[in-house]
Order: sequence, then C-alpha cells, then structure tokens
Amino acid sequence: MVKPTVLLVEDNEDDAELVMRAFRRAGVANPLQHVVDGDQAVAYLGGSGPYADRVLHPRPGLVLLDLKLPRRSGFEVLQWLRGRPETRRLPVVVLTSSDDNSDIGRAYDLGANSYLVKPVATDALSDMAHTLGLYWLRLNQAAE
Amino acid sequence: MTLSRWAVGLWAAFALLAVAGAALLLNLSSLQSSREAADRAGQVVFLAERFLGSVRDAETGQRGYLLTGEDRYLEPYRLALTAVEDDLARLGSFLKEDGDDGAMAELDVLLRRKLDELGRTIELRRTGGLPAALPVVLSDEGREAMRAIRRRLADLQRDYARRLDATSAAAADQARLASLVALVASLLACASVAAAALAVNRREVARRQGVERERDRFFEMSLDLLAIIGADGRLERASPSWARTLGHDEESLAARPLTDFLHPEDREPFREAWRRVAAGEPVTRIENRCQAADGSWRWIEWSAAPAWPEAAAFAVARDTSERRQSEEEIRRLNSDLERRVEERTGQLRDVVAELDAFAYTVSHDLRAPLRAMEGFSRALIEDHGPALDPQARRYAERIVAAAERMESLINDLLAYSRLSQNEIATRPVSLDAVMERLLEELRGQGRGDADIRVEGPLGMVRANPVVLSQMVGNLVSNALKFVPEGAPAQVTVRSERRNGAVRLWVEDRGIGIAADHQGRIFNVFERLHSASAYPGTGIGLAIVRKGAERMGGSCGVESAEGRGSRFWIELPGEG
Repeated sequence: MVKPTVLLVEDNEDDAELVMRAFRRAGVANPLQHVVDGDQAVAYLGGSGPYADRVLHPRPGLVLLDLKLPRRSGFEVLQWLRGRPETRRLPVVVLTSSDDNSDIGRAYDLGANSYLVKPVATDALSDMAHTLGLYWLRLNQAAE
Repeated sequence: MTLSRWAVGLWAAFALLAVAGAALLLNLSSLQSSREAADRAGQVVFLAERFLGSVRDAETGQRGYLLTGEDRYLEPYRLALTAVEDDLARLGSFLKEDGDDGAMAELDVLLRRKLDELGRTIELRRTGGLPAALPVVLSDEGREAMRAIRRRLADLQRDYARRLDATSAAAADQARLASLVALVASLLACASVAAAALAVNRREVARRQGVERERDRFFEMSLDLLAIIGADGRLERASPSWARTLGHDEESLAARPLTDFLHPEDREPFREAWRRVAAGEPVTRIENRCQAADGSWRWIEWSAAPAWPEAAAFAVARDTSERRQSEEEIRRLNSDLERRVEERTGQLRDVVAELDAFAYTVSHDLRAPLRAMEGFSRALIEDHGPALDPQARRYAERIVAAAERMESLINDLLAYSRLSQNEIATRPVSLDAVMERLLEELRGQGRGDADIRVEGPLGMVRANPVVLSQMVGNLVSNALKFVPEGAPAQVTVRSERRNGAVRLWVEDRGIGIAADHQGRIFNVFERLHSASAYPGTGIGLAIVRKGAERMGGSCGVESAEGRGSRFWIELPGEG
C-alpha cells in the first residue's frame, strides 16, 4: 500500500528542515512534499500549474500548514480548501510559532484539525498523529 | 469765619429778645400794681357807699321803733349794727393800705357818736316811751352826727374817685406801653427767626452746591459711562466718558434714542431690559454693541436702575470691547492649544502604537531564527552527540540554554506589549482557582515541593484571567527565586478586602529589596541582580504593574533588605 503524501506548507527553510527531521526521527516514511507560500499550496491542492501531474505530485493525505506565509496566509489557504468538496475533510494541522491564542482559535474556527507549536518536537508529532487517528502515518512504534 | 459771624448774629438776636422780654415783664408787673391800686380805690368808693347805707338802715330802724314802739321795727337796726361794723373794718383795711389812717379814725369817732345817739333814743323809747326819747331826737344831735358822717364819706369818695381816675389812666398808659413792648419783642423774634432761617438756608444751599460740584467732578472724571436716561429713551445727561469711548459728542448722543446706537441684533434684548427698568426693577450686566462715531462697534456692559420720577433710569456702562477681545483671544489660544495638544497626543499615540506593533513584530520575527538556533543545536546534540568531543558538546548545550533564555525574554516582551496594545476584557475571576492552576503548573515543572502556603479563601476579583494568572505567576516565581543561596523558599499567599477592592499579598522570607530600589523594580528591564545570580528577563514586575493598571487596579511592595518582601496586587472586588 502506498503511504499517503504529507504536504508541508512552510516558508521558513529552517522550520521545514526541523519538521522533516522530526518526521524522520518519529520513523514516518510517508512521502513529503514541500511548498513555500500560500499560492503554491493552493496550486498543489488544486492540481494546477506545475502540480497538474498527480503522479509526481499526489493528492496529500495530511497538510501541515504554517499560518504566516508569503502571498496568501495560512488562514486563506485553510478557508479555500475547506470551501472545496474534495479537500473539505482533508486533515490540516496548523504550525504555529507561538501560543498565540487568537491565532489558534481562529484556525480552529476555520476548520483546522490540530496544531503543532514550532519547533516541532518528535513526541509532539506522535501525540498529534495519535489524536487525529492517523493510523496510516505509521509512526515508528506503531510500525513494528 | 462764617460760623463765628453766624454765632454772633444769633447770640445778638437772643440778647435783644431777652431784653425785650425783661422790659415786657417789668411793664406788666407795674401795670398789675396800678390795676391793684385802681381796684382798691374802687373798693373804697363802693364800701363808703355801703357803709353810709348801713348807717342809714340803722337810723331807719330807730325811727320806725320810735314811732311805733314795736320791736319788729328794730330788725333793720340790729342787722345794720353788724353790717356797719364789718363795712368799717373792711374800709379801714383798704384805707390803712393807702396810708389814710386819719380818715379811718375820724369815721370811727363819728360812727360811735351816731350809734350812741341811736342806742340812747331806743333805750329811752323803751323805758319812757316816745315822749322820753323825743327830746333827744329833737336835739339834732343824731342829725348832726349823720351829716358829719355823710360829709366825711363824701370827701373820702371824692378823694378816691380822683385816685381811681389817676390810677386808671396810669394803667391804661402802662398797658399801651406793654403792648408796644410786646409788639417790638415779637417783631424782633420774627426777625431773628427769619434771619436764622435765611442763614440756615444759605448754608444748606452752599452745602448742596458743594456736594453737587463734587458729584459733577466724579461725573466728569469717571472712566465708566454714566448717564441719566429720560422717559423717551434718550440720554438726558451723559458723562464725558461717552464722548471719549464712542466719539459722539453729548449733543448728538442726546439727539436720538439710545436704541438707535445699538447693533440691530442687540436692540430687542435692550428693549426687554428697558421694560424691566420701566417696571421698577434694576437690571445688571446687560451687554450690547454700540456704534461709535467712526462706525466701529464697541461692546458695552450696562447696569441700570429706575429713577422715576425725575428721569427714567440711571445707567452705568462700561466699554468691555477690549476685555471681550482678550477673552476671545484667550479662548482662541486655548482651543488652539487644545487642538495642538490633541494633535501631539494623536501623533504620540500613533508613535506608541507603531512602537508596540514594532515590538510585537520584532519579538515575533526574532523567534524564527531563535527556533532554528535552538532546534539545530538540539539536533546536533541528539543526532551527533556521540561524535562530538565534550567541549563541542558543552558549547552546543550553551547555545541551547542561551536560546531558551532569549525565548523567555521574547515571550515576556510579547506579553508586555500585548498588555499595552490590546483591549483587556475583564470578568469575575476566583483568586483561589488562579492559585490552584498555578500550583498545578509548578508541579508540572517539577517544583511541586516548594513551600507555598495559601491562606484561602482568597475571594473574587474583576480581572482578565490570562493576565491575572501571568501576574500572580510572576510574583510567586519571584518569591521562590529571590532567596539567599541554598536557603529554602517560603511563600505565603493571602488576601484582604479593602473598600470594595481585594488585595492579594504574596509574601516571602527572601533577600528583600532596599528601600531606594523599591520604586524602580516595576519598570521594564529593571534588574537588581546579575543574570547569573538570579536569572530573569527584568520584565516580570513590569507585566504585574501594567496588568494591574490596565485592569483598574494597582500594585506595590513592602520590603526591607534581608527581611523578605511582601508584594501586593489590588484589583476591583467582585461579589
């Protein structure tokens, strides 16, 4: 079985690298696609432009969405994908740089499933996967 | 000088009157004595007549008896005997007063002789009958006596009639003189009264003229505008200040009713005031504009009082144009100042808001590289720890620790800037619940063994729960932190009600704060100790103060160096 793709929407290279490291350390082997702004995220999810080829760029099973993004903010991306039938139920985990209560509240209002505070630590990632019931994410302990 | 001349005149009038009075008195008294003398003379004449009559009555009684022998005819005789004695005595007393003792003695002898003759004949008639008495009668002894009496009395009467005439004439003269003196005296009195009245009047007139001159001088000098207004609304009299103020001369001012000089808008209010004055009510501080000769408008402030019936009103007015101008200027300056202050305040507010936004953004954006530093240092230690030599590993650990410190610094700064920036919504919050959560958090951080005594119940306050938790957390964490090295921390949390507010005390037995530092520990970045002795950001107490202020409360500290500190937060109470 092909493991679902994870789409990481993060403009900060450092944060992206650290997220990827956390995935590695947690033993998640799912393919990870990385885009760096809101427009790219929307294009990828809509399968348009450079992302039209669904073989190279498969439809994701999970989105990790940063809120502060160039061009189109994470809130806008979230609002957009919740408005489309094919992405309405797509699990979205918000990446936040702070315990910014108003940001988190707004993200939940718009339909976020969970949130991770940066830098993303391995155990936080596991907790999140567990909470969301992402059995297919196959964290290392579950893989055995 | 005038006064003494006055006095001399007055005294002279008095003296003249006194002399006239004395003369009149003297005259009247001599008139009185003349009257008395005349009166006496009249009495003598009258008594002489009556005396003669009484003698005649005695003789008549004797004759009747002699003729009839009947006792009843003796009745007149007997009556006359007493009357004649009485008359003689009274006559004698008058004569004696006038020094006529001789006449009195003569009359007495003659009367005795006559009475003797009468007595004898009556006796003889009684004892011897008529024939016995007749010889005596016929002897003419009685008739002689009678004739002598009559003669003597006639002399006396003649004499006294003369005297009566003389004294009467004298009395008449004296009476005339007295009248004359009285007339002169009263004329004199009238004259002096008239003279005095005249003098008094002249002085009164002079005094009044003096007063009027003084009043006129004030009238001329007055800077205020004084006027007497006639019933027709014209100025009957205006002080020269009118001309000085408005430039109209008195004649042109008096030529037209006052309303003609007023600004059209001010005429109706003036008429209203004028109606009140006409109704007998004084008016004060009426302000209106008067046109000056040069066409400009002057503000005039008035007070007027009714002055019937001499005139319609007395008015005092003052040119307030300059005062109004200054007031206007002050108002303009004030509003200008206010506008400028508002402008500046607005600018400052913008700057502050900008700074706040800047602080927020900076704190926020600073965290991204910090996260990277911390994350990658951790990754280095975790992923390549065994490959690193101990020195390199220790450096990496120090990078992590420094990044953590910076993280908490930024967190505090963010919290502080959020306190200044956002509207802070408050609601009833239980201090006990706040403390409960805080203790739980401490346990979560592995500090559950700290000696923190809570003297509950602490009560309810009106606050923002997040901000309040942060404030209380900062105070408790300070109380746990600032203890002498190696000594255990002892913290007591309690509360008290103060006039509708609740004061929460966080007390420790730590190192304390010197009095001269207590004022500044609530400022941002204010630290009393090196970070190595007591780590911290220097923002904790600033957050406490800002939070208390933003929620309508206050905070403070009571402390002495080495004797522990007692920090307090006071917030509006709830319930």
